[in-house]
Amino acid sequence: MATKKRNIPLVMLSILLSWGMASFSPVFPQGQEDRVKEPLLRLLPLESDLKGWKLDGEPQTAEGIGLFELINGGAEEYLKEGFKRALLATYRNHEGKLINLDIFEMLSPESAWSIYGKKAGDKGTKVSVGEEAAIGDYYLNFRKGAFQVTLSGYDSQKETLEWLLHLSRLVAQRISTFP
Amino acid sequence: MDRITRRSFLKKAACLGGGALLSQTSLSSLAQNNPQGPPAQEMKPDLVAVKGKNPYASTLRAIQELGGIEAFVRRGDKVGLLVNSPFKNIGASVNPDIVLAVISKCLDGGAREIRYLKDPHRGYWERSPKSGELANMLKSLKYESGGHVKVEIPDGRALKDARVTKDLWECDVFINISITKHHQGVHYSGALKNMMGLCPFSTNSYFHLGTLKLGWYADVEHLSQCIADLNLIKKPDLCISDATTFITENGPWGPGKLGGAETIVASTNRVSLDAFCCRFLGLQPEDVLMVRKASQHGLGEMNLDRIKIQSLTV
Repeated sequence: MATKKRNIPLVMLSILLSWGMASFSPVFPQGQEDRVKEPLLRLLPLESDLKGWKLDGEPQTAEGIGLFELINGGAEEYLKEGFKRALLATYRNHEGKLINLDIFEMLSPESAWSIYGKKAGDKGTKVSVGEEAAIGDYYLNFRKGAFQVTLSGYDSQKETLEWLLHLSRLVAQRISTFP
Repeated sequence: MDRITRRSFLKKAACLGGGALLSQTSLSSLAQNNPQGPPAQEMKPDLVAVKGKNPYASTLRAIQELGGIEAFVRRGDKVGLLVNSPFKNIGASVNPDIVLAVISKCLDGGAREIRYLKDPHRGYWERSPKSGELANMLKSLKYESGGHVKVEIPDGRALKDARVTKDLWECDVFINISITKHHQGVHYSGALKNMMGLCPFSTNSYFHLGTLKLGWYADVEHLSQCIADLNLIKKPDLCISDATTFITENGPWGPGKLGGAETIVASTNRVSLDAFCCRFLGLQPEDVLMVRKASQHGLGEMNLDRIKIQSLTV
């Protein structure tokens, strides 16, 4: 679980590192966007493994403080814990159901552990995905290495929860082979 | 403003129509049946809470009880909507049906232009089953132009100036539509906090880091004061809060455990609105620092015993 007392210099260092990264890319020129996007795109499951679920629009990416452009005030906790880059995607099935997949690469496994603790806490039901995972009424959080991943649906139906689990395991497998 | 307490209002109501007027249903039907149109000023509540399963219908009713859209929008007006809708997680953004109801009423009222002051997340409108039938209406919407202007805040205590979307100054009517939800930093997010949506990161980062205390939520006092100060720049003409389904943890973005009250709350005063809505999260107005600080600025009444509240179910 997340540490209750953060080491203040480490917190400051995390913020500065995230800020420093952003100073290179406050708004992505094409080359920089590709540099962030391409590696993270490799973590997305293949549609052939998803039986009718397809990407709904282009995935969105952010690096450093650019995360604010993507998730507004939600970025603060990630930057505080040491954020590197993120990819946010949405999948849609033939019935129009949506599942959001948000992949956050943190600066270190410790950062991922810390943000996971904040997102999942000790709530939800523990499930076997990555190094630690918990599923709630309509969402699932897991962490693996320097990654913290959140998947969320829009209802609590059994089928939705099963897809959250399936998708998360596919992503976790791909993280295993991430360079 | 001539304040009317709940007690004095009830006395007046009793004088006007006997005990029958004490019934919320009777009061609202009186407002609706007023042959002169919207309810007379002295009959209007300061805050309306409408409970119901249909957020669209509840929103229409809330506006009606505050005097109808004609109390806010005149023919030819440009309307600016500040909607908390950047988050795709359920319970973290305003239910789009509520916004559609407001847009529909504004158009009925003769609005010339309706502009979103902070763009919604991608796919936002698709979350509403009504977005198909109201597609033409949505096509007429304008979105952020992208420019910001510096605004001086002479009475600000922590915030002396801010960069604010220039679109705000080009609208005749300003409507603030927030969602009642948890927020990691200030514990509750509503109408007052929603004003940060008008500002770029350069301003909002000062809210968090301005005192150089370490960490994003390290100085909640400063953050809360900045939010209260920012609210000095412009008073919304109408505030509506979505308390239908909302995150009670992991705010502002979620996902997290959901709460639900099936209620739409509307008021012309953001402080009173937030004082009322924070209770859906188990907080009291005095627990929410930005509400206290906004009240100290004279922006509104946080003591709910001193305002006229109308609660009804549809």
